[in-house]
Amino acid sequence: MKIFKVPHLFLTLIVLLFFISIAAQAQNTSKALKSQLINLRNMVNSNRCDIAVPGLFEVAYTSKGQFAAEDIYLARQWMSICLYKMGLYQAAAFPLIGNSYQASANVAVKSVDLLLRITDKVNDPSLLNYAVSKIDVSLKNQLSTDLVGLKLAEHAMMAGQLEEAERLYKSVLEKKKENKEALYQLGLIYLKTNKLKLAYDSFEKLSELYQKKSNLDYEKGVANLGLARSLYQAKMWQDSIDMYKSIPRNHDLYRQSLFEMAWAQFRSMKFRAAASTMESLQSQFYENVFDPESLLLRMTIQLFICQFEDLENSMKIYDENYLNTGVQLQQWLAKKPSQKEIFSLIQDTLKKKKIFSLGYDMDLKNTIPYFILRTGLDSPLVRPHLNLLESLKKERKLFRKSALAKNAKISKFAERIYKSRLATVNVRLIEGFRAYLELTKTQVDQYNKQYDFIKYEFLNSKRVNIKKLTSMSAEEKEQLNANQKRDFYWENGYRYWPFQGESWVDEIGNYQFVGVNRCINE
Amino acid sequence: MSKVILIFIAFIGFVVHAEEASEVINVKKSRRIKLQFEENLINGKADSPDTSFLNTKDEYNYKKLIKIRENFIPEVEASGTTFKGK
Repeated sequence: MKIFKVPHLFLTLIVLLFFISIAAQAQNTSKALKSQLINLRNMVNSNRCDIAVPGLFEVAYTSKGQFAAEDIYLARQWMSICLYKMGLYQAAAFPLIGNSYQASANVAVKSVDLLLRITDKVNDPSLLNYAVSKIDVSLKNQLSTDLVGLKLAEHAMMAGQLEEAERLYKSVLEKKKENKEALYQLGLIYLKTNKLKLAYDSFEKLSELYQKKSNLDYEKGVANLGLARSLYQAKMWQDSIDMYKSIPRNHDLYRQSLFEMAWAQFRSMKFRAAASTMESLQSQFYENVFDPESLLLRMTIQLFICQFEDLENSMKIYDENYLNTGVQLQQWLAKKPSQKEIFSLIQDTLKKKKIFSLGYDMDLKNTIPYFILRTGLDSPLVRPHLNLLESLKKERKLFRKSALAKNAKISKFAERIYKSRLATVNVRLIEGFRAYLELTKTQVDQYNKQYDFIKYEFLNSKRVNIKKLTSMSAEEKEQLNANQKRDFYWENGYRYWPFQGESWVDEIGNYQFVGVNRCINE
Repeated sequence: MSKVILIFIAFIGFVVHAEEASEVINVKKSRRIKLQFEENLINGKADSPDTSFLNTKDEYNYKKLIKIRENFIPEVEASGTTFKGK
């Protein structure tokens, strides 16, 4: 019996020792892995990202069961922090997406926080939507509040939830009263909800932040336009005109300010001033801008003052440039152009725009007029995608130049991300451009209707004027001609521009309309 | 006499309108006096056309003519990205 028990005890001992040694080995491995992770984290903290990223990538994607799941999520998070520091935002976003729904609450919060920072850098609405959808209400307070507040508010704006957006922007301003994005967006919300005093106050606070900046500062110009637009919407025409005049001639937004000021002048019945502004807007300097609205406004003013000759000229310009545009667009869109065709149209327009900017002239014959295509590039339906595409290409270039590109695994990983992101954004760009063309077609149809109405009124007014003229005596006609004579101005070179010997670009904004009212009173 | 009454009514109308407008937004005016030359550039023998323009098409309801711009909200929206993250 004893003989039988000894080997049994011996075997048990051996098995026990075997398990103890395995446990010790596992503990050692675990310690080694932990210290490897700590080393990598220290490298991230000391900005040695070139070395840290390959190590973290191994842990995050190729370790296969060596590390605990939570360590893998941590490695992904640290890798993203490094890539973010290197300016590789799109590549940094990818590991965080998985983390946001797989990792523990602590890691997930930090991952979403970083994801929001990335959306702020890349300005990608789809990424923002994704990040916001991953924010749990209970976790909101743990995130860095100012940025989260802004991003949640932006998301609410996109969804048309103005009350929620207003609340969120206000809470951002409670913490940081000089937040420019919150001030501007609040101004926009108040304009939309017709709370015009509040809109003005919000834009005023924003404008005051730029008091010491030059008037040429772009952001200052946008803030001041916000003020002018609030005043316009409040029907305070003269105040809005004064504000529009604060935008200098060499400011990027000058043309826009002229256009809006012309409306304010027209609404305040300052027809001569409006007509003068129109001369600048319709000058050759802006001939490649698609702007039928300002031409229609010009025609309306000319109709008001019975300047029929000028009106006929304006109608000729409209006939040549805009009348057939709707038909051209309709025909082109009816063919249901493929994504490839639209993409080549965008590429062609970008190329032509570049050639123009270099000062070269070129043949602009196209199925769709060039000025429509060119204006489309800056449309809100297209511009964000173009910017995103550009930043993606820049980022890919940056990655290819970095030391990380030499690592085959990381290179494959990053290139795959860029390829897929570029393809997605390209499709969005194409569909955005298609939507812009469809919208333009609808707008042109509406403008054409207004044009027909002006044409009808023109013929009617001309007929009435001729009728009145025929019933006048010779003396009355002479008096009328004397009143309408503008020789004084013509002799002094006042027809359209008051300058002599200066380049015509400088004259923008100085055109003076000196025609008179030619309507014959009863 | 009738002219005096008309001018008085016009003045009252102007004051009322100005008060209504100032209730909406109080624009901070610069203390410096600005000389506006733009509207006065043309000093000829002819009468100021702006005055006659006001008197001419008064029977005309221009709201029917074209789509009047009531606001520039689309433009404000389009410039929104300017202050992103600032």
